[in-house]
Amino acid sequence: MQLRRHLPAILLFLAALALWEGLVHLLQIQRFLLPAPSVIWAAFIENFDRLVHIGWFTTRQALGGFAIGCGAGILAALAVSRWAVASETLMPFAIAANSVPIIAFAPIFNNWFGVDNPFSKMMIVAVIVFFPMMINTVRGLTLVDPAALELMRTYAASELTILRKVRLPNALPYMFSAFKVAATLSMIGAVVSEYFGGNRSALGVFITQEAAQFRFQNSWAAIIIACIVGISFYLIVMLAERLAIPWHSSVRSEAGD
Amino acid sequence: MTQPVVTLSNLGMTFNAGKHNQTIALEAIDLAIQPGEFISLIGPSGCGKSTLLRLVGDLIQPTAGGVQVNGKSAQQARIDQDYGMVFQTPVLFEWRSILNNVMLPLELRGMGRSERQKRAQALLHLVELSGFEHHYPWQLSGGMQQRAAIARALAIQPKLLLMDEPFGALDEMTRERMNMELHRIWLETKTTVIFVTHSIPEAVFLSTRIVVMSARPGRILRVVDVPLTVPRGEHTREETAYFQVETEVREWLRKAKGYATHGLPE
Amino acid sequence: MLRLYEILYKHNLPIRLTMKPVQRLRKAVRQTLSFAIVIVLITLVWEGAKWLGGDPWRPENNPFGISHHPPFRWKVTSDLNLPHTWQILGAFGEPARRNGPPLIQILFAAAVYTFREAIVGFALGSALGLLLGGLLSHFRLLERGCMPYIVASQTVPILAIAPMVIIWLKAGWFSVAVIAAYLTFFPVTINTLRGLRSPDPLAVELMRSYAASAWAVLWKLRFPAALPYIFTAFKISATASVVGSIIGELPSGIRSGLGGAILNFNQYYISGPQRLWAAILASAVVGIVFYLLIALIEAYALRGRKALAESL
Repeated sequence: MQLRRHLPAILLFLAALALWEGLVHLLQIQRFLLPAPSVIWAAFIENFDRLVHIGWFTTRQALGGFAIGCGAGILAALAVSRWAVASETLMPFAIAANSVPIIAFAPIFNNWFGVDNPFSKMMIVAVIVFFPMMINTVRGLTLVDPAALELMRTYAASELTILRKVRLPNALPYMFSAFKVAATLSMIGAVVSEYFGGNRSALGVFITQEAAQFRFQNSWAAIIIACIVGISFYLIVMLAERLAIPWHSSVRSEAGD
Repeated sequence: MTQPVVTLSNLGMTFNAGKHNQTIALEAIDLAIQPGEFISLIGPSGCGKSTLLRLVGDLIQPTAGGVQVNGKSAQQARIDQDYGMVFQTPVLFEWRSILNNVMLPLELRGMGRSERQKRAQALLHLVELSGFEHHYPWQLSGGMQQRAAIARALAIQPKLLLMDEPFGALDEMTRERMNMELHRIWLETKTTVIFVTHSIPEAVFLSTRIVVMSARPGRILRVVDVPLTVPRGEHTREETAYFQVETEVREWLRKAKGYATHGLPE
Repeated sequence: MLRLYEILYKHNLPIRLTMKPVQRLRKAVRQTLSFAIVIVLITLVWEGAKWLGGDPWRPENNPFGISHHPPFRWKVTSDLNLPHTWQILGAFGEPARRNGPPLIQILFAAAVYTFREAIVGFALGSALGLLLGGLLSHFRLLERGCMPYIVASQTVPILAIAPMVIIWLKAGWFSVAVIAAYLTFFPVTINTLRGLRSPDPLAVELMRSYAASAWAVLWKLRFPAALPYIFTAFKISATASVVGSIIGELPSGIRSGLGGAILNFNQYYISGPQRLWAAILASAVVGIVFYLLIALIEAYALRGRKALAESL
């Protein structure tokens, strides 16, 4: 049943692949410009072990950064949302900081923690993910129906109780929205931050090095790994969302966001 | 005998015909509405009042029977913009000022700017919203927004006004005031009105005739005449005829709930 | 001070209908003050950390002319890794290389170069996104077929294939703009689609009762209803465009932009760490400026709307 819904998309994908392969051969496009899918696949198989090894290296950076960034973001949000003055002061700053290209700090972190150290990339991912997480969580904790807050006050509930019973559940959809953004940003952030230099066993470094030597099919093979990890990460977050907040309309509706 | 503004002939509406969730919303509706009348549709929840209104407005098409508006098909009447509609919520566009909202139907008809503005301002004056032209909907109270919606419905000077529980969301005092306003507007513009409501006092105060409908499948149970003098006002609610009509309508409404199983009375 | 606090903060505005100009001014002052306070706090924490665990403070390397020996020695807060704030600010005025123009001139030129890439990319991506969103909202079948791709396209790390894109297009800064466009189009498409579908069904019925043409419904109802969503996407895309432009410059060997500047000053980090920080600061400014630009346009486009009045 699910398959039928996705069938047109799958067919389109296969058709696109076939077209790509055909065009490359037909137009004799040179390998170093745009390798054919078959060539990429061959490179993928050939380098599989290496790709898995470096893929995992980068994935660890992404996961570590995700964990640190989201954790810190949530803690910061809990602290900031408690006091209205703090939230009014810090939120505009967080929104502005969110529009700063964090990736520019990659060289700095490399210098602090060492280029080869995965921790430097983890920190970049953490900072990238921190602001959206904090902003969304603050919104989720504060944009609560005033009537619900009044109800809790009639129960003489403490702020902690209100937090646990009203604010946190209210914040979950917002947080999952941020988790999804973070999931996609983590892998990309980890790979791209390696462009500023990194361990030889890292995906991003591999991609740039192979591209620099015009072995594009290897770069593409590595990118495929990165895509697979990225999609899997996103799907895991979606699954977690379905388990955590099955009652939310975005999970119930067909075109979930 | 002038031509009726609206003629419903054996009108019926069945949703999801043939499927497991088939619903017969309306059945065998026959009604002729004369120009200048104020007709209220009243009945238990789910009796198809709103469906009937939408059939007249050609927002849905009937599965049985026909609708004639101004001697044309409902569809033609909609294309010719022979009616204006007011919904349960004001449905004003939040990005337009009150004046621009009222001008919307005129814009769609290609009326020139100065002409639209003049007409819109006159209408806002009619509904007593002068001075609020450049406000935005969220700055107005519910009652005021609904008045703006009425002004908008009257923008094209239609012969027919379709109103779907327009005052349902308002508090009692505002509602009574809006009833007076609507009555005054009806007298001034001489529009024919089809008005869906849940409120018996409202129906009696405003209408020339009240159509009581049965529970689903909706049929016309009774058409009650309202022989109250016009113009109406505070005094109307004190007249004996007022109580008589109210009681009659209430009795029919009580019976309405039983019709799904018991059939029409003699 | 208390009086100032009272004036600025003591007016709780529960359900105000309109903000009088004096209240708007108060709010603007408050926000600027909050920013200033946060900047000051950050500076204090920065210098405070260096006070505790950085390199020794000598009279010649600080504007207060004091001497201080920090109790701890942390690697992160050394002068090499975390230059003093005044050193970074001072670097703007000094030349980057011997007898060269002051750093601020170089960085300004680089910023403009990168900003151009970002804006062109943003414009292209947004145009594509708006068009695609519009088409998808109208043709259900198209949506079902294309949506999975549009979503999947975002999992392709465009930044990862940036090197190849740059080489294919052979178009210098424009290739970088293409990368920025790629990053922009997805949020814009998704949000345009959501926004166009957002109007109250009664409003759609209203337009039907006016026998309005499909075009009129799109232009007078759906599009204005979609604007808040579109601007949310614009703000995300603005940031993404700047990031994309900086990253895109790296593999392309473009030296004229901020990406190039960052690489350059990173290479010569040992001889002048404050310059790298200055370049990063310049990048931050570009990101924020672009964001503010969008916010300004948003304030105009969504004028009069309730959500905007409340957030303002």
